[in-house]
Amino acid sequence: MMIKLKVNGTPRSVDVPPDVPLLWVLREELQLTGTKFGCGVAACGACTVHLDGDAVRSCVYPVSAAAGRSVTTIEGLSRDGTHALQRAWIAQQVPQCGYCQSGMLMSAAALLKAHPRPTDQQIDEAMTNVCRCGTYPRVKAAIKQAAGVA
Amino acid sequence: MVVELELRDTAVHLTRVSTVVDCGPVLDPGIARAGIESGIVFGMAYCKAELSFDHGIVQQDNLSTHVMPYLAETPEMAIEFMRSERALGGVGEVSPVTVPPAIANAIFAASGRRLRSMPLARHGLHFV
Repeated sequence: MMIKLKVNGTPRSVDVPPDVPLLWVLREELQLTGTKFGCGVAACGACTVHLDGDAVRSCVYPVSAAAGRSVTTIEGLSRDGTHALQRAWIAQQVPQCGYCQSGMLMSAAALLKAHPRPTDQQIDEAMTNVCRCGTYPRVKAAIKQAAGVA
Repeated sequence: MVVELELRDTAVHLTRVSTVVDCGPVLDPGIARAGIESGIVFGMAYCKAELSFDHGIVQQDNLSTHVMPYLAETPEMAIEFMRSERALGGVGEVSPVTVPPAIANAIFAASGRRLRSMPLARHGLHFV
């Protein structure tokens, strides 16, 4: 089935079964491998992308439900890696192994879009991504730095 | 390591973990601190979820059945390194092992109840 969607601002067409998760279309059809597979059951958030600006877990999101819509991946968060969160992530030295971090950044970016100056509680509620390295203290600090609420 | 926490019925919320580390001379303070921070979260995982085996096969086979600590459960951390002339040591496995006893001590201080095993679920408790 031919499915059209806009990915990081560019119109793309993919010929895949409609129930294929969006994650695998991004990674395997479009070679956008910044988005990661973690659990496959929407439990960890490593696969988080934006769909029309909202954070979704792409491992359980059928590509047909994204047809005609706008998808943003970590590769499209900013043109040159200078999104406020990306700069704060570097300043705070957040990543360790790095595997969950693109999902973390996409969740954080959706949070700041909805709440530009989030409270601690809003950060806690939005950031349910799992990080086995335990980078949570720095994730929180970087979000606050990017939002100017540090 | 000292854990401060709030205990409400069965809910345990860690508010602050203070720890002092003697790992010999600290060569890279930034990486050393990150290692201790993340080890504290790793130690919380020991207290949160249990692995069980059936005929040698781990029964919790995904992050939906083996639930990790979340950002919301993570406490503030105060970490200090001693000025030390001892031999170089690592920081990778230092902080996780002290977290369960420090949490158990804090729960004792709060409630008078002694936990002798983990995870918390064995005692009807859980992180929030």
